[in-house]
Amino acid sequence: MTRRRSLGLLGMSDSGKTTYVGRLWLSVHDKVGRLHATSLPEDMRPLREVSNFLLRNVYPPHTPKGRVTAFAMPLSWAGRKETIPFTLSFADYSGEEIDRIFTDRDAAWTDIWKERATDSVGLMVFLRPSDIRHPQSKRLSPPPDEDPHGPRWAHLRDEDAEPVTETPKRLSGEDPEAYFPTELMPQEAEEQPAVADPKENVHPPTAVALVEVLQFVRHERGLCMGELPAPEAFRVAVVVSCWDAVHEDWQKLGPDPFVERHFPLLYDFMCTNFHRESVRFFGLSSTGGDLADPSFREKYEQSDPERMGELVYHPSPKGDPVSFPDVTLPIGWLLEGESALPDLTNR
Amino acid sequence: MRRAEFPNPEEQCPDLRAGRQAATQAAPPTPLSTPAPPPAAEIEPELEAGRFWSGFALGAEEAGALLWAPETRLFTLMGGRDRGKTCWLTAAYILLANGFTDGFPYRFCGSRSLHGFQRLSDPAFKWSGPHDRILPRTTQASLRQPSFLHLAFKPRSYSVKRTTHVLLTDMPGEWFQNWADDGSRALPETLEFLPRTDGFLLAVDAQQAVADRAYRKDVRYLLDRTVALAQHSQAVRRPIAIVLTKYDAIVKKVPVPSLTSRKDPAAWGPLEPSLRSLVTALGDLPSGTPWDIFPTAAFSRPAAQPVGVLAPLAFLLDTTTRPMPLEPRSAPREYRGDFFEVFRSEGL
Repeated sequence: MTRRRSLGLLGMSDSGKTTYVGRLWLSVHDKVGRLHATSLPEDMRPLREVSNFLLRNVYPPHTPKGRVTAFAMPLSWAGRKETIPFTLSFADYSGEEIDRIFTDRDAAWTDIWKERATDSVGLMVFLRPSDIRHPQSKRLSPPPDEDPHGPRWAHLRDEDAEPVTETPKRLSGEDPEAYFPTELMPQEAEEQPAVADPKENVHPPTAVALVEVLQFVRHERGLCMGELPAPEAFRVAVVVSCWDAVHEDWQKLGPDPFVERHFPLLYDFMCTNFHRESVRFFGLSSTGGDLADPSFREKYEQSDPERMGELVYHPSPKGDPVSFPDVTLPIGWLLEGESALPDLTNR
Repeated sequence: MRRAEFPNPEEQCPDLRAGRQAATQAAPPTPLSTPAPPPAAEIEPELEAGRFWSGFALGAEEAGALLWAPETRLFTLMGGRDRGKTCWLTAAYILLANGFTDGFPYRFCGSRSLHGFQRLSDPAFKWSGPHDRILPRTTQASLRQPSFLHLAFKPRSYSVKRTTHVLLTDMPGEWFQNWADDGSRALPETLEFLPRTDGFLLAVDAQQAVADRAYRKDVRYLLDRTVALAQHSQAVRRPIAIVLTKYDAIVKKVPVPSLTSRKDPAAWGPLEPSLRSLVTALGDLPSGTPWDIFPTAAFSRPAAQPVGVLAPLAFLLDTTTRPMPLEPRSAPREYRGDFFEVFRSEGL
């Protein structure tokens, strides 16, 4: 009997959870990454279903509300002597559950969630860059600085705001907080259209709902607010999916500053509730491009799906990001920490 | 109550050690000056197993339980009716949640009222034009009991592990008007938490303060009450932040003075009479009590940008101090039903 190791997947709707599961299985089954499948699982149907979509050059469909699919993968580490096989288990579910937990609280926190919170050795938090629900109205823009005579008050004095660049730029220092995308820098006095109809429900912003669920998970594990769990006891991989769709300037900067800039509440929460060694930010491209784009799909059809896509991360906190074609790395890191990542000393 | 993975609690938790030592030694006098930095312990009110917090604003009982921990700070947001208190709170949340925190020296660490903040700010997200009201008014009818919004922060520096819990009040202006009118007689009904306040945010409508002498006097009465309260306890220095709200309405007439001259009423032009009166009242604070003046605009017209909103919060977080407790770190079970006990225990 092999050891069972559980992971928790956390993500809103269409955040890339199901696509990743399919891609992961293709990778481990074809033994192209650090983790290899040792055999087929008892119940092959769920994995076959999700991975077949990718083999047919389409994304898996949106997971319907209320459906929970359990996956189990018998795995072992590649290239290690005397490695002990284990079964990796996790579940996929509709991302609307995160919204529901935020609004319905205890009523939506099922036994499955309790188990997910307490039995998992780590969490994978999925963020999709194209589907960020910000807590703000688009009417609000970030204050450029704290100087009362500076541009922060400029719009009130009908003065011109500083020119805004189209894309994030690398400034002289390595300060990701210095980047503000155009849509967050209105500064002009023109009235802007309301972002929501007055009677429209406002969904909880992505980061707010995820932070609340993470607080529930921590509470379920007996962790107080701000308490740092031992790194080996609980790791969190924050995965920015569809990394290939992120603007190339952000791709150069890497997932760490990307999350800090676009999900600041979540980023701060991670910084204050986990050891640095317990959290890693990854950029993930499960397919290497957009399957909805006919030209890319044509290329994809001619390739091995098991070898498409990439995984990006920062080997050191201030270092440049590196890219590997191995999408099993976040799983390996969640299970074993830094030792599961490639040795970059001779790179 | 300590709840998690500490194999050697005494070694890892200075407070536990301090508490044990205190129990075996004679109680030292309550310090009058700035105490040692708050400890790195993580304390939370005990919750029933399997039951989460509601996520909305905390009631007095939940807040009271949290206030037994010395790292909890109660900041009372005061001001008359329609003076921008709720807008300030909402704008602070929006800034924190969006990471627009330049110069704010703390990181968000958690909240027991995310749902409450979100609900508070939903109307701002739906705001459809510059001329209608952005947020509904907090009225006596909509709020019959004190409610508190919770945020937890850690310093941005990784080297400091301290967690500070902040409770912010969101109360109808009428309650404070009653307090200004009736003094301590008004406290038991709605504001019994006031003596436990660690720091005050006094919302002053900047436009009204320029134009309306009667309003200026009302603000002064409220500040007089606050100063008297601060004088009452010598054990805790309670900083006061004068928050000039809706400053966007006057910023063209009254330029923001430099940081170094803000405490000088003469630097504020048409606001001078109002601020001179307030500064006179602040002169009666116990020696060394920090105070400062902050121009803010929660949803500045026309672009609806929060301006200067987090500065008074940072000021209170930086300057509030609280003596180390000699009591157990969490509320004794017998006090759970009497949450006002903690409010009365201002020297805790």
